[in-house]
Amino acid sequence: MEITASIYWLPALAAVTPASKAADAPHASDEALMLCFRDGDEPSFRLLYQRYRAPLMRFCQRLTGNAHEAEEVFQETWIAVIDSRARYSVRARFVTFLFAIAHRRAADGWRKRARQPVTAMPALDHDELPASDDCDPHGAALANAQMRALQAAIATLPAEQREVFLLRAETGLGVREIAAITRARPEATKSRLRYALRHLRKALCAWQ
Amino acid sequence: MAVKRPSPIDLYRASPEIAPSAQLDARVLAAARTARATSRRHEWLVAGAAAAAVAAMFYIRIATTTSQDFASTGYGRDEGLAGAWLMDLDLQQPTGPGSQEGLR
Repeated sequence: MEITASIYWLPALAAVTPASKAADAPHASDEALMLCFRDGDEPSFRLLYQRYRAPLMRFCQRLTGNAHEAEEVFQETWIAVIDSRARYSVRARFVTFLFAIAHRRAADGWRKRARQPVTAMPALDHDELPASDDCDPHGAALANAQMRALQAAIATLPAEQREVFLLRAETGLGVREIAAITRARPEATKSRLRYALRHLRKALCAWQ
Repeated sequence: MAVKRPSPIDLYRASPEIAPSAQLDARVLAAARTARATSRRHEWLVAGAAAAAVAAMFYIRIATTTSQDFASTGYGRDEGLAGAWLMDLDLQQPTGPGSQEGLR
């Protein structure tokens, strides 16, 4: 009881203290799970993977604009996380660590192919579109059209702006963290985000 | 009344998630399992190598140690000499007080 109470007095420390077992700590912080995985607890990795598999995949897909390349970046990112677990320490949020790796892998891929990321986005299947909960077919059609317009507009963004927008939208990170990931100055990052949002709003105007 | 327009970020977050394929999931999770197994194997290899190194050092130490390494104290040497002298001693020869007198 006393030990539990003392942990409540130290919430910041408890947040990054590795849980003894991932199964006992499904709500453990990402950083605590990563520390557990570093110490050999493989179920902790499963929890982390479960949390970030879909956001990271969507980020890779939207960033590269190519399903095959996105899968490659996605897999290489997780393999890098696994390989670097022994050196992992909590210096930043796990999400920053993860998406920084993804950014570097994508950049490596572009360098390898000696080209900029493709701007053409894959066509979105009708199956991919979310099912509308309401029974308003007009509303559902409008929502689908908006999303298509948004994705098309994202695809036309310059690579730097697109990446900044995707990091912001996918992770909710602040400008400074995004700047650290993309290795750009915070002012430049802020400008890129502003330009990207302006471009996207303009593209969505027709649907609003 | 003006309808609030959703921001591009909100709209993006409402877009459908793109889940990786089951094969991709399996590959990543298998890599995590393999990494753990490799790490364990590595730990055992390091421990085994350390134990072998200690054993080898111990063996080399024993094998290269000679009797000359021990300090010669001479303890018992005199007693050994005394034994040989006693063996050579003619015990039939009468000794002691009165032996010479008896012969006379």
